[in-house]
Order: sequence, then C-alpha cells, then structure tokens
Amino acid sequence: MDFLGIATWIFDFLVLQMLPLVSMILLAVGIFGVIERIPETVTNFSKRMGSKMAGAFRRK
Amino acid sequence: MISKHFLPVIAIIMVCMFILPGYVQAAEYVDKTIDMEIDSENQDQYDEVVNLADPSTAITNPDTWNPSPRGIWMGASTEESLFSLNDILYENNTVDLFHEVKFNSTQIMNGASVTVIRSPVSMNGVELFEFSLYRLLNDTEWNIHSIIPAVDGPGVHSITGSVEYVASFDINILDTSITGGEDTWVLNDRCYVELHAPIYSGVNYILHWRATYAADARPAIYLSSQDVANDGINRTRWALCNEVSPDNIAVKNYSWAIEAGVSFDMINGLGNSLYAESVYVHAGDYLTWETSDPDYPDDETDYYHTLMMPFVTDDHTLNATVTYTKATTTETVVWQDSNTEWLDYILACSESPVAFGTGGRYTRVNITFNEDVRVNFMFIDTLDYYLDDMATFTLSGITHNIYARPWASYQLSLGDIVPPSVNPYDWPGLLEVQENQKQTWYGTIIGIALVIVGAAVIATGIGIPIGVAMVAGGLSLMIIEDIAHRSGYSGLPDYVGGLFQNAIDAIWDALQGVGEFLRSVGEGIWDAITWFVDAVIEYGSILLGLLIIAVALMLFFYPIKWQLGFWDMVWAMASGDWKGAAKAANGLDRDISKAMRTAGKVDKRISRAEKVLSKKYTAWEKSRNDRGGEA
Repeated sequence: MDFLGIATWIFDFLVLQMLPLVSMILLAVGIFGVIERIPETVTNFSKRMGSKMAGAFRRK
Repeated sequence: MISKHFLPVIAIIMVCMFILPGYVQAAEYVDKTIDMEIDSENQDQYDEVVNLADPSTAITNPDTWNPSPRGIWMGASTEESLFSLNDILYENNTVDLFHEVKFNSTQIMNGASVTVIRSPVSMNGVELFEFSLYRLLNDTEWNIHSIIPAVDGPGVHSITGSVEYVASFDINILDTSITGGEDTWVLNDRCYVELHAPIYSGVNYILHWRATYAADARPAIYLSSQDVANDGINRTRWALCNEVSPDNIAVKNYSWAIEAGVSFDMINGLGNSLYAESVYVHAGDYLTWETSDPDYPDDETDYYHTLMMPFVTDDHTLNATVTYTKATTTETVVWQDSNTEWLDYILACSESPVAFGTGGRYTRVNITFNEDVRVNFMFIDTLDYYLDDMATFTLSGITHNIYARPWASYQLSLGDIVPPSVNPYDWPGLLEVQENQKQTWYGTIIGIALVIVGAAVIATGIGIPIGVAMVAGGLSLMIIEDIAHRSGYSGLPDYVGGLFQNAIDAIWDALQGVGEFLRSVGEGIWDAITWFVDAVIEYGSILLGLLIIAVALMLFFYPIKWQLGFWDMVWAMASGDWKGAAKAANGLDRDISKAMRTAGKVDKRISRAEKVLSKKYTAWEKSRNDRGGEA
C-alpha cells in the first residue's frame, strides 16, 4: 500500500467509521447525563417553588 | 590239376578282395581314434586340446554357432551335452534357469557393450521365453525362491540377494532372422540374444532364462563340463513350477555344481561406462528414452527447456526433429524443435518458456530422424536401468533396446538457446555493452551544495545577490562536471588538468567544451524539467495524502469538539445552570459563526472568480464579434 492508500485508509477509518461510533457513544453518555441531572433539578425546582408558596401562605 | 587248385585260389583271392579292404579300413579307423581327456586345467585352451584330434573331423563349440562368432568368443571349447529332465510338463508351467558368470580383464579388457549370448536352454517345446541379466552387488551370495500365486498361474522362481537389473526383455521365439527382425533369433534349437548393455569384467552376473513350455514337453538344457569363463564359478539353478491341477502345483528345484552350456560373442568394446552405438537409420526412424522434468530452481518462473546431444555422422550434419512429450497414457507434446542440419550436436530448445510441472515426472524425449544416414551416439551406464538408463531405437518399425542412457544433457534456461550460426537472423539481440568506468563527482556535489545554500540565502533574505551568485556558480560546476564526464574525463579535477595539458589541446578542448556546454545547458534544463515532473508525480501523491489526513483529522475532531460543547450546554440546562448553558451556547455560536464566515469567504472568492471569468469571456466574445464585423 502506498502513502496515498494509507491516507485514504485513515480518512475512511476516522471519518466514516470512528466518527459515527464516537458520536453514538457521546449521544448515549449525553442522554445518560441529562437523565441523571433532571430529577435533582426538578426536586430543587419543586422545593424552591414549595418554599415560595409556603412563605406566601405563611404571610397570609 | 590246375582246376583243382585254381578254383580254391580264385575263391580265396575273391574273398580277400571283398573282405580285406574292410579289415584294412577297420584297422586304419582304430588307429586314428583318439580318446580325448579334457581336464578343467585345459578348459580355455581349446585350440591346443582340439589339435590333439583330427581338425578335419573334430567339432568345436564355436563351430556350432550360427552365425559364426565375430568378436571375442567365450564358452566351453567342446560341444555341450544336452540334458533333459524326467518331468513332463502340464499346460501351465514355468521353468526358470539361473547361472552365474564373471569375466576377467584378460578376456574382455574392462568390458563389452554389445554381446551375443547363446542360451543354454533347448528351445524344443518352448512357447514363451524371457531373459533377464542381473548384476550382483557387494557379495556373491544369491539364491532363488518360488513365488506361487494364490489364484491363477503355476508360479515362478525369482532371484534373491543384493542384485540389480542390467536388462530384462521378452524374446520373440518366432524370429529366426539373424540380420533382420529383433535383436534375438532362434536357430537349430538354440536361442541367440544380441544384448546392447554394458558388461564389465570383474563383476558377477546372473543370467536368468524363463521358459514356458507346451503341454507334454520335457524341458532340456545344454550343460558343459568346462568352466565357461574360467571364473571358478560352477553354479546352475534350475527350477520349475508345474500346475498338475489347479490345487496341485508341483515345484522342483535343482542345484548343480556344473556350468550351463552358455557361450558369449563380445562384439563391441566398452569405455569407462561410456561407449558408442552406431546405427544406420532411415527417415522416420527414431530414438526415444524416458526422462523427467529437470528440477526448477524457482517454481514461479517459467524456463526454456534445452536438450544437447552430440552425434557423429560422415558429414557432421543430421536432419532430425526433437520432441519432448508427457509419457503418460496419452503422449502430449510439450515442445518440439527441428533442424535440417544439426551440426555435430543437437541443441534443441523449446519455443517459449515451459511452466513448472508441465512435463512432470514421466516424460519422453524422441529424436526422429528425417534422412537415411549412419549415425553414432554416445551412451553412458548408470546404476538404475529403469527410466533414464534405457533407450530404444525404432528402426523400420522394429524396436531395439539399449540398456544404457543416451549421453545427452537436458537443462533449463532463462533465455532461448540457439546453436552457433553464421546467419545473422539466428543471432539473438544483445544488450549494448556499457563500460564500467570509475568517475568522480566532486564538481556535482559541490555544485549541489552551493545551489542549496544559495537558495537558503535567497529565501532568508540575507543577501539575494550573493544567493543568486551561489546558485549560478553551483549550476555551472554541475554543468562543467557533466562536460568533463562526456568528454571522457573521470571528473572535474581530471578535466581541469586536461585543460592545461597543452595549449592547443586545451584550446581545442575548450572549444569542444563550449559546444558541449551549450548542449549541456539545454540538456540540463530538460533534465531539470523532467526531474521536476517526476518529483511532482512521485511526491504529489504524498502531498495529497498528507492533505487527506489533515482533512480527515479535522472532520473527525471538530464534530467531536462540537458535540462535547453541545452536551455541555444540554447538561448545564438539565442541571438548571442557565448561565453555564448560555456560556456553552456562546462557544457553539462562535464555532458556527466561524464556520459560516469561512464558508462565506470561500463563496465570495468563487463568486469573484466567476465574475472575472464572465468578464473575460464577454470581452473575448466581443472582440471576436468585432473581428467578424470587420471581415
């Protein structure tokens, strides 16, 4: 295999094979990260809303 | 009175006239009878022994030969005795006779190549007849054993011991012609075999005759009381297998310390395993022998096959065709070469290279003669008579076996081999001879260095005029070196020395040098251009490859970087970190904006190029229309 052949093989390997694979892994990790973070965020949001509402009721 | 005595006297005279001659003759016969006592010590001096008798009436063994011996004759001096077995043979029978002989160098020097052998077997009642000759190896121990088949046939007797074949063949017992037919003939109850095989002195040979008789025949052989070859060996083994009934095979085995009645006529000598066969051939006759493909040094390479075989004819030439065939069930021609005038030796070659394995283990060389001529070939003896150590002349359709290998060389060649020829057409093209002269390259090396340094000086801006001068000087040195080489000098120092050798020569050389210089400048430019083109072709692919790798890396890492930024933003949003999300989004936006700006620039340049081209085309079209209007 000459140098041009090696270069095209590298292109084929990185862009056509590794890039979709890495993208899929990043997608999975990303979704996992989102799922992990959302409950705490919602809980914090609910707590904050609850404390706001409790304060409002207490004032009344 | 007279009548009284006259008649008895007459009667007595008459009786004497009739009876006395008989008595007289009888008395003479008794006187001439000689009782011959032939002792073994006189066995090979038959002339002396025979001279004791009346040569006109005594019968010697050579006298019984048909035809008379032509070469060195060897055998019992007196007539052999016919000995017959009591056994009556049934329809299926085999009778094997083995006897041993060893010649010495005073008899046949170092050997014989053509020998006529008279068999000791009486041919009376013989239906099938075979002959084998064995060479005894290492020692003189040998024996025979019977081989009885389990199903059909009466069985045979075979030899045991350390032996090897010299020759083996069937004898046509119907052939009675001495000069025509095959190399055997049967005359007067005796069989003669003309054997073309090397026979050496000092070697023990065992002759094996196998006969199959007609039913009711009584086998008989000739025996001699003398030691035939004066070898001190008197050993004859006679064995028969007689199928009395399918389940009853009678085997008899006789061992006698007496010589079989064999005799030899050695008509051709033998060199040291090398000798000649002289044959008169007609057009269509051929010589053939089995061989095998030579070993290929490289199975992947196809080689030409060549055959070299010397011969002798009266005019040194031979019209013959060489054919190399596969010796399998169907003989397929692998290659063929023909020449109407082979000169002193055949040097045949295949037309094209032959692939490995085309011929194979069993192949055959045929030399077909295309003229009537006497031809002599050399033959050489090898240990194994099978395959390589045997050849056959087929003359007028009749085969004549030679139990030795034709002295020929079968070889491989990378190129086509042709015999020496004065015809230019036959002469293969040769490469032009290139003289390998030592040359020095000081001028070229210094010139290249100057060009590189000069180019660097120009590029770095240290001093453009100096750099240009260095490049020009370097190129000049290279050109002058080239001129020196072309002028026959080994290099620039030699050339410079040559310039000062003498004035006229120097001027002349200088003038020549000017011409060469001008030519070299052109050639130098041409060489530079071709070098540049070659370099672009050679290194262009590498540059393109580097570009592809750079693009591949960019296309791989940039999207990953972008994806990481994207998930950073999403995770920040999921964590409720809106500021972090905005920051990550800004980064993404910058990247996207940068990419968009780059795309915009590229688009702008393409648009500009389009405009320029469009303007040029419009101007060109206008000018063309203007020229058309003027015309």
